[in-house]
Amino acid sequence: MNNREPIIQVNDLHHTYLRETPLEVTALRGVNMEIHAGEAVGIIGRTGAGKSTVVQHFNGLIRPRQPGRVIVYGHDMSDPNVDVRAIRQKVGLVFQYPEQQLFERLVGDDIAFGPRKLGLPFEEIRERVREAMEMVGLGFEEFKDRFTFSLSGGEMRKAAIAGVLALRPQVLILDESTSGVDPRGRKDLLSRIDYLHRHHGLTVIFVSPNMEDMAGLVERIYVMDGGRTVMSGSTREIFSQPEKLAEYGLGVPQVTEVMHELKARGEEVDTTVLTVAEAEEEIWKILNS
Amino acid sequence: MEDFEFLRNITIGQYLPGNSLAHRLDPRTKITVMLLMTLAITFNISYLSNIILLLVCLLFVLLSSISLKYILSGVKPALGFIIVLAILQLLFYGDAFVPYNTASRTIFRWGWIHITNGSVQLVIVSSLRFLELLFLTSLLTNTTTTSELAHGIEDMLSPFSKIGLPGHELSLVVTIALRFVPILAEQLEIIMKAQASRGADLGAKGKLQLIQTTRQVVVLVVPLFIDALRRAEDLILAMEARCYVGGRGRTRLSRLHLTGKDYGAMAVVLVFAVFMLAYRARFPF
Amino acid sequence: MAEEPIIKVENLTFTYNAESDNPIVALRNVNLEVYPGDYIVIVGHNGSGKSTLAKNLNALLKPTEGDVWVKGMNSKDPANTLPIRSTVGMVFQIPDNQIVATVVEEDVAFGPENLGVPPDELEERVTWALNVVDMEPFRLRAPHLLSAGQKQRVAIAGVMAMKPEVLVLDESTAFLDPVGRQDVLKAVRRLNDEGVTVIAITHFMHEATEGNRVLVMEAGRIVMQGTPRQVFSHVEKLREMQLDVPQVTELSYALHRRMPGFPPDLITVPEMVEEVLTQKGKGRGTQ
Repeated sequence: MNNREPIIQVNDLHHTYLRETPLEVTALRGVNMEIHAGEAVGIIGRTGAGKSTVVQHFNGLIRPRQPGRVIVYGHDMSDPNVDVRAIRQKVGLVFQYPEQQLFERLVGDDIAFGPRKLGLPFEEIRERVREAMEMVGLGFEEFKDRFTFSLSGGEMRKAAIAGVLALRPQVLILDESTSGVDPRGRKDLLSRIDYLHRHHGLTVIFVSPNMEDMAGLVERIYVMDGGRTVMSGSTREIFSQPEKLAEYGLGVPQVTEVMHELKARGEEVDTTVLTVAEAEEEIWKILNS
Repeated sequence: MEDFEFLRNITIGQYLPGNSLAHRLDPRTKITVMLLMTLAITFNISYLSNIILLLVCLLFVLLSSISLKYILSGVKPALGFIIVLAILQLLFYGDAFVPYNTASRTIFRWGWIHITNGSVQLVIVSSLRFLELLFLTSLLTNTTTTSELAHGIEDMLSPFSKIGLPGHELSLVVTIALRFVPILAEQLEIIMKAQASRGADLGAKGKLQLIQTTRQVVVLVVPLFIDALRRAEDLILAMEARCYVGGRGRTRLSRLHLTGKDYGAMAVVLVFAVFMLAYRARFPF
Repeated sequence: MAEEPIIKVENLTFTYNAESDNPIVALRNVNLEVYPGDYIVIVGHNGSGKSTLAKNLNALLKPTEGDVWVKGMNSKDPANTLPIRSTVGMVFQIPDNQIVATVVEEDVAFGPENLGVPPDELEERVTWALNVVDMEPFRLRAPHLLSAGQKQRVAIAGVMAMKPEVLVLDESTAFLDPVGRQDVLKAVRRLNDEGVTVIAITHFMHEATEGNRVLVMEAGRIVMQGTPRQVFSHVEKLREMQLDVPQVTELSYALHRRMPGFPPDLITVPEMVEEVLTQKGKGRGTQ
């Protein structure tokens, strides 16, 4: 864990949608969070916990209301004069089903949208598009001139994510971006994000209701429920509390469950196990002691 | 700063549960009342008749227990546009509109600008009519669920099926359209947020700009259109899988019943509308 | 007791755009027999043909070659289309895109209404269907106010109200969160217990443990078939195909490699726990 100033800080954040209408809904009831540069942080919770609402504050889509405060890269997001466009270049947000944002006829053009809006010179736009496409695994020459809507679902999703990566953000927020993807596609996507995190220093904020997504990717987790952060700690710390997580509508990987059951039945095992390999070691140990 | 939420603030069409007289009337009654009143409004251009009509519409609103403030708040997004239009009419329509029961008289003239008692009447009467229609529409949509509306339309059109009018199909089209309005509105909000997140000029200056360039609109319209088409494709499969083959031979779960209140309401409004139509040229002012 | 299969698929080949210059063969010579009461889970990657197979079972798609028989009715005969669709009901992936009405109970009634079921029976069926999926308290709600899992259950109710003998779920849990998925699986389990034949298409391997038969599809063919245990025990092959195996099975297989006395084909958490304890000599045996 680093001691530097957090790049994103959330204090006592509240949010109500459609205030003062008959359809008012309170989404956040005092959320506190910190994200440091270079971290990979997970925000988990069931649907309706408020996760998306929180992360939409990080790039200014939603502004904080008193008494809450959100500071992003030193900027107080309640200040109406904040240069939101600049923040959105630094903090990239990929939504659930990101392929729904595609609109250009050709794939390359759609990915170039962000860089074009930044007013970059043609050559640099091209370079960024190439780079972004390589990052997601879409060959530049092969895909740049394809018709956007002739791509498969998985390819479209990659193109959409490339569209955000082309901005060269320093923080990447993935809001349930693996929803509806088959296991192979999910593994591919997560490993690419992991690569960007480890080798390019990308700060990653991963939002999901699925615990399995988190295990290999994030170092720290915030658990949200009912508009509040209810648990926070390292991945292992969080995963070692399946009963609590169950209360919040969340599960743990099967192997973690196995360890907990064994412990409950009197065995001395490490219940912070996350992977099959780790479980294998633990069980081998107790069967051969 | 809640730019992206304004789409959810559409008050027109939003059903508000309640137990008022209006809520308890059959949808066919309310549709008939609305048609009769619209007829009366259309043919009445005098000040007095519109004051009477407005008061009657206000009476309806009272009978529906929907707050007046809520109904009027639905006008807010369009207010700017309405005011501009009214001013333009006032200034430039002097010649086009013949005032009720009196001769046209110029109040002010300068270049293109020509204000007459006619254009004044036009603006005032238009405003009154606007309010009347707003209240009537609210009466209908705020007190009637979309399914009641669809069934009401279907039942009213069913006698015409003999001459080939597809009553059920039309009613289903209305139902599905209404069903997907909130879905597409939410979808639009998501698309706007996604595009804004990658640098589109939406909501960046803290206020949604009313005048968008074509470019900016494409960024929203294309994805929304594609989404709507996809949903339509899926829905067709689902409907076919559930054996939908059109209106012939279908039964229906909910039955509508007309009661004494319905007949009474329709009779009263019918008399009123006939009166207003018959006297439309005989009001003093 | 030799039962008649309720669905019989014979040498089914399906090609999209058969007449164009760009035909796509989605199914190649598929053979399948589904018996009443089965709970079949079909897994495979996107593009393996599983969804195409599902749509051939209720005549939404007709075979390019081969035949599909539902209760003896051939799906190619247009006269059989409606009877087949009321026997084999289908629930799709995206909950919102299946719901037609603005009130839950009216949407559930849509299917039987199309079948001309008389009004009092309609009422009964709607109530029964909503109860089976645990959504009766929501009958007067507007669908867009429900969660995805709730909407999907409404969709299931809408199909069940037609009283089909077979329920096909085409990746119906793909867009749900874990809680929603649990609720849907529970409802489907209940239906199967009551005798409804279930065919569930999914890419979640751990859902395959729900069924009594698992089919693995790849490139338009059924490449593996058997009980969940049988299929999952082929860990290497599944890994080659880049398909997931439940973590427990992977663990079981890994332990078996190190200790041949350990079974390689455990598929649930309780099984694994019991096995470890038994091996350690502390099993529940004599309690």
